[in-house]
Order: sequence, then C-alpha cells, then structure tokens
Amino acid sequence: MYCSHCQDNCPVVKDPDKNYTCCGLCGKVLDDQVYDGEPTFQKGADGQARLAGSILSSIESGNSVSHERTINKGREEIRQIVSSLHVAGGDTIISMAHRYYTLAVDKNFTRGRRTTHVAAACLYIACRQSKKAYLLIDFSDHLQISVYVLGAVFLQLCQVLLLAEHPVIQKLIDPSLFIHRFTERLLGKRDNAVSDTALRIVASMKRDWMQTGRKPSGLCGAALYIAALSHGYDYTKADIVAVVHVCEATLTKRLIEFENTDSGSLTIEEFLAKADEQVLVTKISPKSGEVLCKHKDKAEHFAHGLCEKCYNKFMKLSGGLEGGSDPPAFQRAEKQRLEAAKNAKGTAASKEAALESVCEARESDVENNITTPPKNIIGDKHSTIPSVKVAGDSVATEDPEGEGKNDKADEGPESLSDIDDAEVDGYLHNEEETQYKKIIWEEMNKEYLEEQAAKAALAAELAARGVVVEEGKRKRRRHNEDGKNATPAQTPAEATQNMLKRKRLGSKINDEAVNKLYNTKDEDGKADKEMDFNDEYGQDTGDGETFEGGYDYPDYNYDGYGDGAYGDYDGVDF
Amino acid sequence: MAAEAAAALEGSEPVDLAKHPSGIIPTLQNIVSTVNLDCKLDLKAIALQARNAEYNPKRFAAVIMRIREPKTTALIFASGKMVCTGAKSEQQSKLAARKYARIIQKLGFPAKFKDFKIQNIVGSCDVKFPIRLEGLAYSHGAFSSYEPELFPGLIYRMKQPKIVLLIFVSGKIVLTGAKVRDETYTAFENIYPVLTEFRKVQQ
Repeated sequence: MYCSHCQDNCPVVKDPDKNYTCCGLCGKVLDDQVYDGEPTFQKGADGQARLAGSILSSIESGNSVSHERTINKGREEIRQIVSSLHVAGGDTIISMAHRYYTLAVDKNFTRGRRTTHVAAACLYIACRQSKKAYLLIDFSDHLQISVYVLGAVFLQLCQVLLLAEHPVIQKLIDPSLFIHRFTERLLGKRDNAVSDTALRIVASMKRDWMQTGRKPSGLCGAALYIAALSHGYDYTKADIVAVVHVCEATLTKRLIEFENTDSGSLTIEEFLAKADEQVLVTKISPKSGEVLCKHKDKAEHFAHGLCEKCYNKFMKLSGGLEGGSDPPAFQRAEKQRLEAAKNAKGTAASKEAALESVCEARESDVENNITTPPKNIIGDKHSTIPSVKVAGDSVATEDPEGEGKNDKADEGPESLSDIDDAEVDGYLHNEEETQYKKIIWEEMNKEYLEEQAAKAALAAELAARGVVVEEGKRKRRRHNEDGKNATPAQTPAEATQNMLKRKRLGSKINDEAVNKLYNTKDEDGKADKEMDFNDEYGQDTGDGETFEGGYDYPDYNYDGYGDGAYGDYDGVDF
Repeated sequence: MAAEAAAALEGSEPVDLAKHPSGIIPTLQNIVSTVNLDCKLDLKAIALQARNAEYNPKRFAAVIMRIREPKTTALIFASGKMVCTGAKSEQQSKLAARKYARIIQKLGFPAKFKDFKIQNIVGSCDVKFPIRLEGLAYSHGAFSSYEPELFPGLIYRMKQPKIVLLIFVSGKIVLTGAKVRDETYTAFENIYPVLTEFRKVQQ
C-alpha cells in the first residue's frame, strides 16, 4: 500500500488485536476498518454458547433435497426414453435434454404435468436442436399417449422457455431427415439404394406441393413404399404403417395424390432419369428488397424477403414456388368452386321458390285471420312489422313507442319490447307440455336428483347427530336425577324393590314372591314360587354388602316417620 | 325477405378498394357475445318451460338454448350471465341476445339487458392461390408457428392488430380474436402482401 508519510509504497502489517492496517516502516495507521469477518459466539440466557447472527441462503447455497430428487428423476426418465428409442448420441443428448428439463423445473413447468411428458418434450427439443430424426409421434407412441397431448406440452414448454422464436424451434422439419431411419427400420439393415430412391420421391413430392401442411411421416411412408417396391422388396402397406406411425388410409391417400402428379405416371427408370435432370437448377439473380429473416441485420436481401442462405434453405426444404402440381387441398377447393358456379344456376330457381313460399305465407296469414279470430291481434302485429321495414325510419319510430306503452313491465337500461311476442311465445311450453317435460327431465336426470337427495339426507343426518348429542345429555340428567331422588325406603319390601330396580334385576324377579317373603301371615305359599325365589335370592346372597344395606333400612324407618308419610309412599308406588 | 335482399346486394356490391386494397373482404363466420341479465335464474324451471332449452346439470352447469332466427346458441347460467354464439354479424348477435332475454322475461324472471359486449369475431376468406407455408415461416419466424406434425396450417400471431390467423396451403385464411369488425379487415390487408410473396408461380 501507499504510505503518505513515507511517500512510497511500503509493506503493511495488520494488527490482529485492533484490526488496524499499519505501515511496516514508520508505523502509521493506514486503515482502521473495524469489521470482523470471523465467526463469533455469544452466550444466551441459558448459558449455552451459539453462533452469532444467521446464515443467509444464496444461489450458491444449493437447493433442497426434493429439488435434487426431481432433477434426478427427470434425468432418469430421459435416459429411459433414450435407451428405449435407441436415440444416438448417448450421454450428450441426455445432458442436452436434461438442461432443458432443469430449466423447466426452475420455471415450475413440471408442476401439474407428468414427469414423463415434460422429459419427452425436453428430449424432443434436444433432438430438434441436434437434427436427430425423431418425431413427436415416436415419443408419444413410446409413452402411450396422444401425440397432440405431447404436442401441447411441447408448445407450452417452448413458450415458457422463450424458445418459440428461437432458431432451434423456428427451423423447419425436412421430411428427408427421416428417410434413412425409416428405411433401416423397415428393411432391418441400411440400404442406400432404397433410401436414395425414396429421397428423390420426397423431393418430387415437394415440387408438386404435396408436402406443405402435411405430416412428414405420411410423405415418408408413401415414398418408402414406392421405393421398396421398385427395388424388388415385397412389403405391404401394413409393414409401412408399422414403421412410420400413420394409418393405412392416410398412406393410401398420399399414394393416390402422388399418382395424380406428373411424376406419378412415369416408370421408375424414367423417374430417376428425370430426377437427375432436376439437379440442374437455374440460379436466380438477387433482387432488391427488405430482409425479413433472422439475418435481417447483417445479410443482404436475395429474394422473397430472405437472404441468400435462407433462400437456399427455403428452396431445398420446400421445393420452391415455381411449377409442380397444385396442392391437393387447393385442387379440392377449386373443384368446390366449380360446383358452386354450377349451382349458381340453381340459385335463381331457389329464389323463385322463396318467392312462392312468401306468397304462401301471406295466404296462410289471411286464412289465419279468417279461421281464427282470437289471433287477429298477433296477425296484425305480424303484418305491421314488414310495413315498418318497408316504410322506413319515420314509421318505425312510432311503433316501438306504442309497444312501449303497452309493456310497462319491461325494466332495465334497455327495453326488449320490440321483440316479436309471437315468436317468443312459440318457444314456450304450455302447462300440460311443461308437466310432460318435467316427467321426462326428472327421469333422464334421475342420477343427478338422487345425488342431490343424498346430499340433503346427509345434511339432515348431520342435523340429527346434534339431536343425538342432546339425548345423551338428557340421559345423564336422568341418571343424576335418579340418584338425587333416591330416598330412604319405609319398609323392607320397598327397600328390596328399590335395590332390584337399581341393579336392573326387576324384570327377572317375581314381585309377588318377593312381597310374600315379607308377609309372615301367608307362610304356606306355592312350592314352585318359593323355589324360584330361593334360587334368585341365593344369587343375591353373594353380594353381602347389598343385603346388609337393605336390612338396615327398617331401623331407620321405625325411628323417623309416622303413618301419614307411609301413606304417601304407597301412593308413589302405585 | 329483406334479409335475403340485403345478402344479394352484398354479393353483387363492388368492393371498396380504398378500404380493401386486396379486393377480398373476409366473411364473418361466428361472433361470441356476452350479456348480463342481472338476476338469479332457476335453471330447472327454465329448462322445463322452454321448448328450445336443454339442461343437463351433471354435464354442464348452464342451460343451452337455441333459436332459429338468427340461428344462434346461448349458454344461460344461474348467475344471470349469458353467452351467445353463432351469429354472423354484430347486429344479429345483439338481436339474438335480446330474444333470449325476452324469453327469460316471459318465463317470469325480472331479466334486464346490461353490459352487452362482443367478445370474439371469427372471419374467413379464400385468396384462391396456393401458399408456400414454409416460406412464410422462414421470413416471418417471429410471428409464425408452423408445426406440420401437429396442425396443417401456419398459425400467425399478428401484433397490431392483435389477431391470430390460420393460413393453409389451399389459400384459405381464418382470422380470429377480433373484437371489432375492422380489426379483422385490417389484419387481412396486412397479411395479403405477404401471402402474394409466397404464392405458387405458374409456369
């Protein structure tokens, strides 16, 4: 450091105690910063020493365990798809797709979506970037889902990762990219002769506008089918369909469309010879204009708003703007236009028919006026409206006002009184029809009504549970009241009765036998009754305390009460 | 009768080249509008009393009602909100909505007619020449989405006006997302020069 006193750069010494920075020669304090970067410890109220301050989390601090688990799960899914579909590239393609997956996780794109779908979409983006010949339908076929479901995830992911305008996604798919892979899958080996022929057929399809708007797999299937047959292989459409993932009807359509082109009528030798001639493409001179492609800031305009590089790519990929047959969709539209022109003659006839129907309607109106007098009002309204339209605005202004006066019930910022009541009434049921429709509707929506009834029953049951709770409280009160109301018995017989009730044995005891037990005059009771009583009484003998308690009552009775009280208790018993 | 005459006139009327330099006027195909009836509705009562109504609460929580002229379909919710679809012009959409509101009034509900608004206009037209969609995707990549594996047309998201166009190789164009008719017309006039740039050149 520079020491102002020594007028020179001098070595420095740091005082560890006061944290001063001093000059090594003259000892001047150069810096007295008091901040301390070392961790410090302090004792809390409980005497425990702990680290002072708190740890702030940052990007370098890493993520949670569940985040790591999610990332690893995605990588594993990508690896499985790569191995199942035999995607070339190994760890390189896996890492590339995994980086997209990590970005998707950071954007919370995986939330609410299946991990396999997101992993497949990321892998598809990586394949697009690496120009690997895989279609969305390959991934969807592997995952057993609809290609449009996976396509939706793919498009949404491009939006989330801001890839929609990125060259990786903007780059168009060339069907030629898939020919070699499909050929290898069909033949089980590489065959450049078949592949080359198929490539030429695809190029011819491009020039004949068969490609635009079509799935690449359909074109490849048709081209591969023709190429394989031309080289002597005996494959059926079913074999092609299994390789390119289109249905047989689509394959047939593409073959018919190719048959309708000029190239379709050639023999294979003629076709190949003509294809060689196509290589000699006439070059176009640059034209003036504005560059619109992705190189708009650096390149010069060549043609159609494209620089030379993009123009060449466009010509190679699409087949160019010149020549060839009309696209099949355009041909169908043209045919429809011709048929429409032919039908124009029929339009006049239909107009005449319309006029006749109008006359018939007017005649029916007249008939209604004659046959059904009550409907005259409706008829008058109906006849008034056309005249209003014919007469013009001056008449129209008056009629709504009149209707407004008649319909005072209308409310709100805008009146609806000008709507034709006859037409509106035509949409309403009468009482009888409403009843019939109610029966039908309730029958058709029986399940819904039952669910609604079940919900109502459940609500009622919940309300009933409240009542059950109250009953419980009542039971408790009864129990307490029983205890409170218990009073000393007047006679031994009464004491015995109370005890039997308290023990809930009343229903099992013969009351008459018990009473006779205490009636000394009638000792000669029936033998059977005595036997029953003895058995049950024997059971009670085991509970000595209860017996003694019952026996104590008569003493208390004799000491405390007179005849009047005794009479009252007899009344209670009754 | 009057409507038919008006349609005939529209067909034979010369195109206003000042407003439509391309000479083609997109045809409106569908209009979606919303209106607030501003009262609670008993959907079951509506469904039972109206001849033109169907109500399946297990499937969809609104009454589906249709009228013949203009030929439209309405979704009527218990909250009093209504969605009207299927009309071919703004006037027809409003007329249809008012007819539905009148039907609801006839059923005994104190329905009003508040906050009518056009939510979406769909237009279509045919330029009558093939279009190389790949070229459009190359030159207007920032606005285009062309995935032949997912959809046969090119999806063009125009920024000003904010309209989504579906462009097909056959020359048919669909314009959607407009809230005003002129937005549809302006969008088509903007895209037409680009379409001619990539039209098929006859030998």
